[in-house]
Amino acid sequence: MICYLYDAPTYLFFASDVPALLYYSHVPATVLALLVGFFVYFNARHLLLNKLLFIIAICFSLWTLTSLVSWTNINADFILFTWPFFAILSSLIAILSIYFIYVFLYKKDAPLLMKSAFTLLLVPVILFAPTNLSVSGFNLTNCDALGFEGTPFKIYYTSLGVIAMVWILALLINAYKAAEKSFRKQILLMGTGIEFFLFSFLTMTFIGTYLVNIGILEDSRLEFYGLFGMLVFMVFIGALVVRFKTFSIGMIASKALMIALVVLVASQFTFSENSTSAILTSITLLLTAVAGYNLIKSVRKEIKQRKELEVVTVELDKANVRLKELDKLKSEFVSIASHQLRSPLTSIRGYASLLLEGSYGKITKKMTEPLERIEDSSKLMALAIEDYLNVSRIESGNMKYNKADFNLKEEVDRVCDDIRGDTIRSGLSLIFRSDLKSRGVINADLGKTVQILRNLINNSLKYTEKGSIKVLVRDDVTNKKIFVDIIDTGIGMSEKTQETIFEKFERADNANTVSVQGTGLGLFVALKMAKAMGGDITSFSKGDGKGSRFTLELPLAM
Amino acid sequence: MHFLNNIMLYVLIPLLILTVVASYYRFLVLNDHPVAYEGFCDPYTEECFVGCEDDECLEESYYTEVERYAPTLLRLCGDDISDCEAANTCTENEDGCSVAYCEPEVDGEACDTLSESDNIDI
Repeated sequence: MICYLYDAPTYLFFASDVPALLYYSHVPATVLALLVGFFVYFNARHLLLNKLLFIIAICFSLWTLTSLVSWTNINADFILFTWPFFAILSSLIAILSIYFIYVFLYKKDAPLLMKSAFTLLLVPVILFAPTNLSVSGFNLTNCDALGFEGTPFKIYYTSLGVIAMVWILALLINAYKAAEKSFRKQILLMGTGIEFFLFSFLTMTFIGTYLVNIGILEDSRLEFYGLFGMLVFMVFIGALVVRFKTFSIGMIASKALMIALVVLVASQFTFSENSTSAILTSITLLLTAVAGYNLIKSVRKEIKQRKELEVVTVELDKANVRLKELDKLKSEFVSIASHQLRSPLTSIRGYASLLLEGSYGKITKKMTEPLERIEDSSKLMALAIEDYLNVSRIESGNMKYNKADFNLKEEVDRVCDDIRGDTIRSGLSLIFRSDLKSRGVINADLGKTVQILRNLINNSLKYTEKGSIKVLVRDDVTNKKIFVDIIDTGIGMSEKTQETIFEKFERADNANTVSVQGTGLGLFVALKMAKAMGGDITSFSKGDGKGSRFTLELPLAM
Repeated sequence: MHFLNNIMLYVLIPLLILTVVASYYRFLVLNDHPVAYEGFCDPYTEECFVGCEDDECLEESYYTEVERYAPTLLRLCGDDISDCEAANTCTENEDGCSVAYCEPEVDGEACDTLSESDNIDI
């Protein structure tokens, strides 16, 4: 039996005499719900939460399909056949939403009691849906069954929607109170989305229709707007998937946005009034899809690169920590080994010295030279061990500095006097000069300062074959600094050597020309000590064979 | 235990299948339902309901409210009742058939009658 005042639709539900808003409200919401439902389900099929969302999406899609059929079809019998599904599907959506929220909040299946309650609430709707209690007749003029719906039945299944909203709210509030901060945001998002969807769906589609039916409202298209609530809900679901990996799946934000954009552009087809606008919409859709695909590809690539970088950074951090540990172990080892070497070395030096002095009786001339060599070698070894120990103390942060005021000029003079004998024996001259405007007093560790001076002057002595070594003390009162320049006429340094001379185990490239023994740690230790006392050591040379100048800089105590 | 864990599935799915089958049988096979439609009414001689032919209401239409069982209507007029005279009246002793005319005391402005001077095409 057909509705005699209307034309038959084409392709199941495309009719010219229905408002375009029908398609615009039904189609995009359904498409998006199905897309999200399928995506969530097929990415983690084993999860109950995902299954429930999928079922809700299917129920909603079937509801919109039933609605499209009832609005556009003119076969009264067919419309009546589908009419009971409104009640069944809307009740399923309401009750399954409660089930869905419970599983989301508590991460487990609902208890048997709750599921039994859900079943009991749904059974009357499904059982009585095809009976007169639900729908008893059809109006061929209006082509609907609105005037033949059973009011008590309608009130019952509508109230299931109200029960769902209230029950969900109670679950959300309880869970929110007990939840951690990070999960509270998810609860808010999910709760807002689903409550908004249920409220708009229930209010517009049922209450609005009821008010039109009893003549209070005139616009029966009010129900269309209720379906946009599903779009909002799906947007919230998308946000949860992107930000919190809810449903145990992840998606990059750009992909979610592109899908939403494509659906929105595609929904323009429902408003196309002629072939020109349909063609333009198709072109726009194609361009959007292509651009979107490329955008997602490039974003994915960037994310992959960033993740690789993060992995490398983590590994670098681990390697760095390991290196530091190894360095510390090495310093500890050096310290322990040096201490253990020092004790026997002290004995060797001591006994060699005693033997040379004749404490154990007169020694022959033949024995003197070897004993002197033993003494010199053990002295050199002791100096080398001292260097290693100093490096170990500096690197482990255990170097102590006892600062006090003293006159630097006087100490430099004293050091020069001590070393002058060795200088003369080497055939060199050691000249001391001072040019001070201040008293030359500094606040530093006296022992360490003397050690630095000895190191620098001895270096000049080692690397100068002929000529002189000048030691000049000068100051810069304006900047409160005092300088000690050690200028020699020795082997000099190349530019490359000057860059590395203060590093550990570094010696001049041309050091072999003067057959000098050394650990390569003297300048490293001297620089570290100078810096620890607020000073610095700089070097300068015009090149190989052109002598060197080392300058010790320290702050004046003023 | 499996039944209790999936109580909703085991109870609701069979019921849903039953409902779909029952709905199909009742509405598509038996046509077991009444239908309502607008029947012919002569405003010069009868109390008619008045409605609009279109959204702008440039033309009025006059009708009665007929309600009868779908199988009877199908037998009399077939699928399309638009040119079926028998649809406007109930046959003798027909169960569940009614033709309602407008009652000004009850329906008020929904009713209208015309005199010959109104001169409209019915």
